[in-house]
Amino acid sequence: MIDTILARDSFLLSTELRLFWLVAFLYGVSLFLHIAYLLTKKNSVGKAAAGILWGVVVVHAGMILFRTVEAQRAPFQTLYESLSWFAWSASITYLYVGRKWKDIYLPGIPVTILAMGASLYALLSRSPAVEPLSPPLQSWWFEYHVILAFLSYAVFVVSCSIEIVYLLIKPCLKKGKSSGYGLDLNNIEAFHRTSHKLVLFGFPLLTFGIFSGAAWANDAWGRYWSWDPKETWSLITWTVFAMYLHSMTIPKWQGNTASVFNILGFICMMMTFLGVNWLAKLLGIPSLHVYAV
Amino acid sequence: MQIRTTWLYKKFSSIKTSILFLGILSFFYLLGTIFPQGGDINEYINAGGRFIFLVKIFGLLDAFTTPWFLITSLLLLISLSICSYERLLTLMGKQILDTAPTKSYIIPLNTGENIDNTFIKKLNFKKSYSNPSATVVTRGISYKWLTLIYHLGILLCFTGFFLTYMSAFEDEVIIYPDETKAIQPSSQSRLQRLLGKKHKELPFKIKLEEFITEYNQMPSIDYPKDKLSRLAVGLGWTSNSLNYKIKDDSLFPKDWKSRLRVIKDDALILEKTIEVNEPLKYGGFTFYQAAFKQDIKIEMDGGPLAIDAEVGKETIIPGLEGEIVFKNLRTGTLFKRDGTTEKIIPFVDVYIFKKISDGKTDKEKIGRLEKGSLLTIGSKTFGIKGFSEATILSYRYDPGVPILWFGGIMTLIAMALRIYSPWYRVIYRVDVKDGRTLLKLSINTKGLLADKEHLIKRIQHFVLLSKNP
Repeated sequence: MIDTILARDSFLLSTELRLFWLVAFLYGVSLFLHIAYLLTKKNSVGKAAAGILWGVVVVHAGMILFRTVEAQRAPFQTLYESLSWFAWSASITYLYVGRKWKDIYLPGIPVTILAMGASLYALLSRSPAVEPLSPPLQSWWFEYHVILAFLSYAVFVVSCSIEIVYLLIKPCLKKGKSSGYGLDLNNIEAFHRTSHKLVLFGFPLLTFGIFSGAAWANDAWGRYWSWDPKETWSLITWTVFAMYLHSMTIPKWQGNTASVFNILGFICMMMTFLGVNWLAKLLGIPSLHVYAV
Repeated sequence: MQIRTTWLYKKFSSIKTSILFLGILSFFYLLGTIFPQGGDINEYINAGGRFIFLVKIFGLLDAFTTPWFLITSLLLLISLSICSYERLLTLMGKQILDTAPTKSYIIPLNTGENIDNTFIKKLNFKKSYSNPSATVVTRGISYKWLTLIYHLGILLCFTGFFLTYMSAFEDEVIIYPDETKAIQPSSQSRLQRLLGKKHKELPFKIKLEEFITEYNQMPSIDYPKDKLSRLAVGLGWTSNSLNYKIKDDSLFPKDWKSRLRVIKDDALILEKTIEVNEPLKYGGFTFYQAAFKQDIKIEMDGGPLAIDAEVGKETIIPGLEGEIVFKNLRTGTLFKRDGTTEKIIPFVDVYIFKKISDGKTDKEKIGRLEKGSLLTIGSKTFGIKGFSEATILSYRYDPGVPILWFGGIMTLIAMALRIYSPWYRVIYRVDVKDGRTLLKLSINTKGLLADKEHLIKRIQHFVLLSKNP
């Protein structure tokens, strides 16, 4: 009996791994086409890049569903699973936000770099083995906390991508040059406002992520805040995005100053998600979030 | 209110000042993730820490209780309070709006149409202001009130943090099955330390009825270490496919639970089985399932005397070189991968620690000792005579938690409504020009779900409908 179950589990894991490699490859293809678009400025290439990304998002969604069935729980316990979820949620958010844009494909470059990077990091550096939930994770907070926190991460990724494109293209347009990437003086400010709207959308989700994490920690560890590196970095991220949102209310700061805060917020978010594990390991700081390492 | 005109007050009510304080706080948070918090300076030096001078001067090993951090937090709190007060004054004061429409959407209107009726009855607006030049109507929850409420919520959270900082304390208690324990906290809150007060014994006792450990059977895979092999395995380019196996050390903690009773004046007050994520709350205290302690009785060479050892700690056994460590005592219920359960025959892994040169210790696993079997180490034979498990409960008194949760929920709801929910303000005026009646509009929106174009379409829809009923 047990041998049959183990053989079935092994088959499912092997199938999932093949799917995940396909997903990583397709993210790579989409990235390649996005770069080709950057070099050629041909809308047909941009459309193909976005089309491939739509395709890979569908396959990736299927793979995540597959993992959910395989593990019989929500698929974001280990870093392998979280990376997969991160890649998918950032990509689908980008596609959803950009669905009404006409011939604007540049923000797809940072998004596909992150999606492919996260997928390859999961595949090459983490074990794909399905593990049962450890006692602290057996809580109804598990799904809500992680899903909403990751949704905020996804919108911050897209917001930062837009911000980077804006900062690179705006000077060209100011000099009177045509960008050739679907952005001109008529639409660039509206395009840039999307970045602000995304942070606005993500900020309450991040706030919920922090509060729900505190409520969960209070039940599991006996205190709602331990100044654990992951907790602290999430607070840094929240604070930097609060600085961004406040700076957007000061007319003089709405340009480059606010943009710097937005990009800094994204960097802090990446530190919260991944960098903190590396930092804790490097500096030998114990983390209560060891299950996420 | 002379103070409101002072330079300092104006500075504190500025958004730029709030951003500055937020930036300084972020820097402190950052320091707290670089330097190990709660550590000892000697440990830091021994671990090769390079910023000894800075760490000593600024107290960076306890960054979140340093005067620098507390003062910056207080300054932010003052800034937040002043900004909220200013918001409140604005909201409570008489609101005088520039009621002239700034941008016009001209919609042909029949002269008989009551435009007030259209906005108030059909489009659910509320009239907030009116003068001969224009009328102002709004729809949705006032974003200014929502902004004020979530800032007040953050202030409440700060109050909760402060109460925790001053009044919270926590301690641990170890209880064996069937033992009833009086609780005498040994730690003090900051406030108690300041006042020189000590805790009295808690007015109730805790009895452990039962302690339960459960394990999952966790199959594992031999996943290759190098990246190329992982690629090959993932794509099926190698004969070494991934196979789950059940190994000796495949027990993964599923849960540990304590069935507790709260006893006061010899009467049973409450009974609850607690586990991780499911604490017991009573009398302002919360009892958490923190860990457990295991002790084992080892018999040697079949003799009548038993050696008492704590699991995980070094034990010296006469006649044996080095120190023996009994690790990972497993007992309780095993939940197997095939869905069945079984009682675990208690076992423990046995290690020997031998000191080698340079003060280093060599650790070697000798084997597994299972109840009912024997294990030979050197010339001696060992067996398990008995064992016991005690629960380790951490308990905490924290009066800041309810205030924090209240402030947190208030912040979240108000923030979500402020950011997502639509709010509209329409300034309109009806003009007659060249024998035609025109509606001039100026529309202001807040909230991500606000849709200006949709509102204009709705206005046109009702105006046109009323024109041709």
